[in-house]
Amino acid sequence: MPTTDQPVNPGGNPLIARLPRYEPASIERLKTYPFLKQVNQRILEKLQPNLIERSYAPGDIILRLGDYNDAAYFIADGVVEVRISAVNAGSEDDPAPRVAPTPVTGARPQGLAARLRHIFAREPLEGAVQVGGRATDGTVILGDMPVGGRPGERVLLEPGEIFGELSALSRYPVSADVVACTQTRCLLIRTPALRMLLKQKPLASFKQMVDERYRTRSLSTHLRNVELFAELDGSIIAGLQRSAELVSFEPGAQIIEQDSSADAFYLVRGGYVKVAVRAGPSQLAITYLRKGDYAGELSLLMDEPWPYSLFALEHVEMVKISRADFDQVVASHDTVRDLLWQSAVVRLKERGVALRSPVSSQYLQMAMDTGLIHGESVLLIDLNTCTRCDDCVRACADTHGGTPRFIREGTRFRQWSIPTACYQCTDPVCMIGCPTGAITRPIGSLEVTINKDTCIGCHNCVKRCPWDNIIEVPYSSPTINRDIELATKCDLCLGRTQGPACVQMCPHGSATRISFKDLETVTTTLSAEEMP
Amino acid sequence: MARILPSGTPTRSKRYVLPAAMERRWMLAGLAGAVLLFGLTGLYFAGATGFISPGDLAAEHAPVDLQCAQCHATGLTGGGVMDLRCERCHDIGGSERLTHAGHVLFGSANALKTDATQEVACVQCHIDHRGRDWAVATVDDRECAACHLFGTLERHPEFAAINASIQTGLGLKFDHDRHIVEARDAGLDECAACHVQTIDQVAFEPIRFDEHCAACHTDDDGFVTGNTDPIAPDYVLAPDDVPEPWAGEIEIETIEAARGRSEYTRMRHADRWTLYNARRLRRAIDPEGETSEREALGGRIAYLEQQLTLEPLTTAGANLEAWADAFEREVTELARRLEGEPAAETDLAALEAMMAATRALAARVASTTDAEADLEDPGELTMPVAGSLGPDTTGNSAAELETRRNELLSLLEAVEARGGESLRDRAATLRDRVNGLSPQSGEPDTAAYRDGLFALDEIVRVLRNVPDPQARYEAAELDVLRSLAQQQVTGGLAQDEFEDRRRQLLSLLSAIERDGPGQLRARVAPLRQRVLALRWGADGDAELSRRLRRRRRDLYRVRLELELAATGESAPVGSAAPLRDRAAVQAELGILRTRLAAIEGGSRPGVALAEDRERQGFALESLLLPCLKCHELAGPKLAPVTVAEPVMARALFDHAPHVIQTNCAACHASVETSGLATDVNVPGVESCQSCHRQNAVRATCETCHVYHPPSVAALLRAP
Amino acid sequence: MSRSFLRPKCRTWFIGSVSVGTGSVALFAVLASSAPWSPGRFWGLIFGTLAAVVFVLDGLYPLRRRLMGWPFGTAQRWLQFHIYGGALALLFVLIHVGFSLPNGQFGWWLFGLTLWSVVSGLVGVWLQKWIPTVLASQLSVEALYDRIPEMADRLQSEADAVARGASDLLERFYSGEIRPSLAGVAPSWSFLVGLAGDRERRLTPFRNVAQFVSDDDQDRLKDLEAIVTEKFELDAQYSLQRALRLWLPLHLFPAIVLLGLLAVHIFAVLYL
Repeated sequence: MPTTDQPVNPGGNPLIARLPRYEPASIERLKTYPFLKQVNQRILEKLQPNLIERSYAPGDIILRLGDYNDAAYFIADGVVEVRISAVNAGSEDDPAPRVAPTPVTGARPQGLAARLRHIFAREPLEGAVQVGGRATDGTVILGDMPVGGRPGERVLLEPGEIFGELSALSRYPVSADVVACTQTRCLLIRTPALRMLLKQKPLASFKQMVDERYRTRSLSTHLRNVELFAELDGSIIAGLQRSAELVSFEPGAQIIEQDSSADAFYLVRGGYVKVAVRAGPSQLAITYLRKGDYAGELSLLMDEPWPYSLFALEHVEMVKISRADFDQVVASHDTVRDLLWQSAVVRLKERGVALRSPVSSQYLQMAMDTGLIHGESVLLIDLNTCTRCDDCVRACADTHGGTPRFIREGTRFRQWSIPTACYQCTDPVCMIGCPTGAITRPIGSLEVTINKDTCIGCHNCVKRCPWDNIIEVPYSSPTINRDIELATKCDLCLGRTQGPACVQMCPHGSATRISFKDLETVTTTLSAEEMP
Repeated sequence: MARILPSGTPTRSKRYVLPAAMERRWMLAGLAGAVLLFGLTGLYFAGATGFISPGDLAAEHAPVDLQCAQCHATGLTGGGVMDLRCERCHDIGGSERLTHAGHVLFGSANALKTDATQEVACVQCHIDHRGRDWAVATVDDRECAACHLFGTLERHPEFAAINASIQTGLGLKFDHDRHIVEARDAGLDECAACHVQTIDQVAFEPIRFDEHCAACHTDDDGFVTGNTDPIAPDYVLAPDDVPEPWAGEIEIETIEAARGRSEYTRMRHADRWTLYNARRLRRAIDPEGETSEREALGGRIAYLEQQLTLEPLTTAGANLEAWADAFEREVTELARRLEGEPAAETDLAALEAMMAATRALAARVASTTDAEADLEDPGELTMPVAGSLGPDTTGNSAAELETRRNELLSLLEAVEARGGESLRDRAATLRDRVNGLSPQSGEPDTAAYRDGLFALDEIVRVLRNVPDPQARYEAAELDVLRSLAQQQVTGGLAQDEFEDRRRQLLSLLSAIERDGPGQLRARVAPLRQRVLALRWGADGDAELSRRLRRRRRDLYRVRLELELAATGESAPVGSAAPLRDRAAVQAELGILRTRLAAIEGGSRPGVALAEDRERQGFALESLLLPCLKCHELAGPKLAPVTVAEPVMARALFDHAPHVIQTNCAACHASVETSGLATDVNVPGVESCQSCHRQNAVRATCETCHVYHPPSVAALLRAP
Repeated sequence: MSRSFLRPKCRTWFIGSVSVGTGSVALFAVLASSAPWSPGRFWGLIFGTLAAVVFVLDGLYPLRRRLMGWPFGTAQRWLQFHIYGGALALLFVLIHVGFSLPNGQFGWWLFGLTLWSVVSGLVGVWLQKWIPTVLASQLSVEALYDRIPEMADRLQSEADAVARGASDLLERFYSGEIRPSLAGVAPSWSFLVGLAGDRERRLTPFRNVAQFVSDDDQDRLKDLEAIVTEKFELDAQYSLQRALRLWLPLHLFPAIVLLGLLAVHIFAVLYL
């Protein structure tokens, strides 16, 4: 490993600079990379601090399952092996596609003594088991690897491949072990550079390369992840793969307009997309789409105008398949049309429900405006039944050694109060820049937790949370032997068998945790609770 | 930029806001509760018990309010209001009048049924702590309904006498129909001429010959009409021969009749000469009967006198400790006997030996008296010889053993009382040895048989009084069978044998009593009572357990007094017997004493020989001929004249509210056609129900009935 | 606001409790007609014991968090048991004494405390259903009870800042009529009766003075009005939440005394 004594990144984060082994590549070296060849000097200089070369001996572990990763790896030389472990496998009996992570279940205390200790210790249990997700045919979707495979498989990646970019962008832990098979040389493209590369036009070649990789490696898997195409023949998938278009949109951009002629099918690769219908002068949000969702299956079947509009809420990557291409590919398969029709009917029903209940759509609108839509589990307190007794806070404090993890203060929407309990975002920006990795999200789970033994009180996460849901408490850290301001946040009572204490201990049942992504729950739980 | 009203929290706090801790509040509150709990309990044990009372006691109990120990036995396992503590004041004499057994005995007059009944605690029906105005003595009707299943007056069964159409026990012949006509003709009020209301109108004055009958039934000189039949002079004493003090003014006139006999005339009502001769004849015919009657009367009088003079234990001045010890010893003895080992052959032999020894003792005692030899000769006491105590059925030998033992013990006690130093010691030793014997346990279970016999009791009693001779014959047969059955069930002696034994014992007792000073008489009386109380057919164990129970109760009473004296909460008990009870007992005593006087005194002719007895009987009848116009003969004597057993034998009928509203004929119209004294001239329960019903006149149980026998005397009156 | 907030939240508990209550009363009616009723006899004892057991279990309600919701699962079910159990326990107590008044001092204490505990509990149920609806529907501001005093102080300094540099008229108006009302939290029982009247009362001075204030000061006036409205809402929050907090000791302490006396009662019944 290359080492150095001198700080080599005077303008960057002092902590990182002190760590050895990270040495930015020189401009000359950079120009040898195909996707950087055409980039001008100025941009290269900007990118340079975040482009690092590293070499690995055979057998070195490049990325470990569960690690946090802040760089995309471009294999310049050598072969690496991606080992898909059984941890990701989930269970054999439950092969339903899960794109969103599933909640963590805690281990049950065994025996009376353990149970009593659990009651009186007021501390969460250790050893929570995490469960991951898999696709319909049993393959594990590794979002951050350009491959997919079955548990126990080992897939090889060759020079020119890129891996790890989505785990860097989304702050998910690495989903498989990556081990060097031969002597390997990689270019680490750290997140700031990665973002620039993906967004900026002059760097389009990089994006093209990534897209191509995606197309050849992952697109078919992702297409298979779509219920619609899950049963399709390999040749059809291949055909779709070839003719699909990879498009991206900036935040706020309108992807399609209502009533325009519908002639394409869209599959979301990443980012959030709002689905809205015109209601008078404004747009009424019906639902939203996220990674793995799709829209426009009707347009593949008939010549109808778009019944809704699609807007990009943030940077969105989509796969677009036009009708002509689709028709061509499925010319000989009737079952595909039937499947499409079934799904279409379901969608229409959903749309009807949302139209009939404008309140639900108001909730959705609010969630999208305020950002609550990002949360996987938002704590809501019904102010019509809450007696302000603070039992929720007390229960939270009991579970966390005397310090609660949220404040019963926050904005109000209709009759609901939204306190400052972490929303467990799907895309947790708080995890960016944690120097010690104290803030983590276990594999395939909802909760973002802060480990109090490794937090050093730098408050990067505190500053990053857009809703100030992370709060500092004075704490004497035994690890670094100093009094620090520990960052704490709601951790969904990870390890507590009965689930979140606030919900369980509200005497009036005023506290609920829901995800605004779940339209059905929003309708039945929130709208129904409204007082006439 | 205008300031807007925030929705939700205006400004967020940077730190967690911890809600106020509740622990301290909980601890304080819990501390307060604990202080209260232990404080109040401690106060209670320290003596400040007032707060714990669930309510004031009724006014009658007010003097003992807040003295918990007067009524409550304390203790986590043995607490509660025990009958013992009620009886401390309400039944000083220990007559058990106020128990449920007393009620059953009062109502059914059946000792076996009484023994088999379950106890009901006083507090089951008499609730207190309901305030000063609460009527403790009033009991809800539904308590009665627990046993008397008809529950209300509406479903009250017809009166027994109405069902049987006969009244018993009057002792007179009387035809209302004729007398009413006579009264009308004489211009008198047909009812009020004889039936005079008492001052309070509740009842009627007793009818007396001199007041109500003499006007018509005596001649101008006041003599009862009619003569006696001719009587042989051997059988009656002439008027001049009658000794003092019965002689007096006898106006009897003798009329010579055929064959040397005499007729007698000019007798007054309750003529002294007639009665003297009747008594004399009776003694000749049936000396034992007279003696038994005398003894029974004497026993009852003694018992009632005792009840009257008993002092409560607190004022007795007695040494309570010593009493407690004595009772305790006796209780242990009795308990041991009750659960003792079966009698072995050797025990029987020992019994025989003891009997022989006792016979000797009795002989010595008897030899110091100068009573008439044939009667008091203890040699005549037919004690059984050893062989007769053969291995019989289990029940038989056990009961026999028991009766023998009882007799023996009685004798020994008498001897102990009467004899000198050496005699006393021997008697005591013998008594111990007798106590050492125990009856055979393991008698056959007799409960089922008993129940059957209860049922038979009632039927036989009713049948016996029916005028139909056929029914009477069947009743007699039933009675015989019943006796046999009872004997089988309980084992032991046949009834006449039993009565023989009892009579002999009583004779011995009389002998001992006649000789001794006053203190001996006092000892004999309770003994006699116990002998009299011996019921034929009662199995020995029951008797023993009854005694054990009584002794135990006495022991508990003494212990209770000691306990209360120790706590300093011994409230003074009221007078020995409540006034009401006392008056009733006095009245009964009066009656009994009168009866006793009627058969006391006078000469005692020798016992008649068997063949002569019949002739003596005829003589008696001839003598009493004028009397028999109205009186009835019961064996060799006139039947006692009592108020007719009322139709409602166990109810108290208050005439006052009824006579105010209506006249005699409304209820007693049937007297117009009533020719016999045994006729029932009273309406049935329906006529009561016509007014006494819900929402009309009071129809509770206690309107007519009392639960407890109104006095000890009433208990005794049970046959 | 319609009456729907009184509707029972958990129907099964409600129906179950009503059935048990009706059944008990029916049983009592049947039994008491056939035999004289006494608290010490079999059925009276049964009902008394039931009432005592339920009261003791109710007293364990504060342990729900320690027990992690066992055995009911959630604190909501604990509360349902507490409320319906308490109401049924009162019924059982009445049946136990045969629907008659007590006699002695001790009896009156027990009876009175039972009545007070259960009735205060039911009053608490009503308060806890009604006050949140007032807070949610008629107030826009939400605040933690313990923080309201400091928020009120902050409002005062904010108002001072707004009023600084205003015209004389406004300053006089401010210091004379407005500032005193901003000095610290001002709880009042009148908030329990209605909010609208008070709100109007506080804002009327602003309407009155609006016509006299110059145009450039109108913004300041509006800001002050907003501040005063916010203060009003804070006061209302404080008062209403205070009512809920004051209720608890009124219910709690007699209940604990009741439990103590209950223990003494059981002791007396067993011991005497």
